[in-house]
Amino acid sequence: MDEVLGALQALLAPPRHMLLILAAGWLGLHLADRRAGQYGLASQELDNIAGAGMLAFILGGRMGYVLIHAAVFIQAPAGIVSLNPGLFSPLLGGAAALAASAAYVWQRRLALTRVLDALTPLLAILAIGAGLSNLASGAAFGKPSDVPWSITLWGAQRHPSQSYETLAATLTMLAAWRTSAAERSGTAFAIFAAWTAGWNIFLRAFRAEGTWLPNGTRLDQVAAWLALFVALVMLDLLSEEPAEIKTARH
Amino acid sequence: MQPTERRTLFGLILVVGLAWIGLSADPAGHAAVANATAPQVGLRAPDFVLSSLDGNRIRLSELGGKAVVLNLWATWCPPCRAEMPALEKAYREFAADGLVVLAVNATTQDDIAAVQPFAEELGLTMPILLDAQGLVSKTYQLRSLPSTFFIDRTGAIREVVIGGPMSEALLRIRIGAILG
Repeated sequence: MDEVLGALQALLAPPRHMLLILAAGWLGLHLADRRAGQYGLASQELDNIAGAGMLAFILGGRMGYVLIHAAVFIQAPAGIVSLNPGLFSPLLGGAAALAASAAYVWQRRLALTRVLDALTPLLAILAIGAGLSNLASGAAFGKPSDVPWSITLWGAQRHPSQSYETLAATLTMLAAWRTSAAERSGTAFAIFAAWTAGWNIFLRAFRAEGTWLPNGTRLDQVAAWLALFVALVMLDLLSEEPAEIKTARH
Repeated sequence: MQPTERRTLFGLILVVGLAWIGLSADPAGHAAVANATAPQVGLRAPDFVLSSLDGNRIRLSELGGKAVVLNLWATWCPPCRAEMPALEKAYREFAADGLVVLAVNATTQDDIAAVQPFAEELGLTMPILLDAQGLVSKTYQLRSLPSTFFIDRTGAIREVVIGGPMSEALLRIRIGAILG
């Protein structure tokens, strides 16, 4: 009985802020499902993509972590099925999720840009959920500051960086949501990507923690700039008149 | 918008972004974070001094140069009990490499008379500290038992595991990281 109770306690133990991410995922998928028809997709297709992605994220993240630390898990194999979320590689989980989702899209012969557009509400709500989750846990905390709206966190007055990021993610969601499905396929996703990359370049400067390059530049800002570059190229290409219209004019 | 105007605007956005990255670069950023003290990953572990079961006084800051696993626990907490053998095993295995395991009993929410029998029953040889005034629980913002802080040789917190029991694999990987 104690073992069962122990397992239940472990399942419901902190970090409870992860529940915010789960709630955001549920809400985002609900909104994406509602709009799926506008992009010529069945909501069931989106559910399957999200389900395959989530399953691959969990399995890929854990198995990737086990492979990276294979020597340790050979000594203590029970850890492979441990409920502790710390035994996880988010990067490899994300890669597995992308691969599984892409495989589903390819196998079902769906148009990738339409799928990305349809999934944009899910991604945008997840970004809001991540901000709220960081606010709840105190992670991704801001630099010390004496601005009037600073918050007391981890022993200092700090920029409420989590609030900045939540607000920016909400504005991004609104911008992507306002994009009409009549726009060229891929536009909603490109707008979401450009806004998200843009505010990350700006707002990451207010975070206290992060990864720095030797000259003091933040690695996450550089990655966001590269993402912004790709998103703007995508938007530029999408803004071009389709070839068939040009041909018809001539 | 004409293609030329659009590309000019996009180019401008990219240049402004690049300029902001340069302007907001902070060569001292990492050091500034590492010097702050709080029970949070990346920050310095708050100092404390506590008495152990055998009457010794241990101050965290006096363990300089050693990696520390700080585990907060109570005798009535099943996950705490479940992870104790793995902590004890790690303490014995890695002590020679410079690891210290401090098992801090959250005495304000425990029965102090139960601590010694608990340690004897599990054959614990690692230092058992008594947080009789609840100062460590308060300073480390204890939210759930067990809670474990992995502190590297410089005194910075590298990982916080809230809840348990921790698997042996998790413990070994985190200890490997703080031993460097």
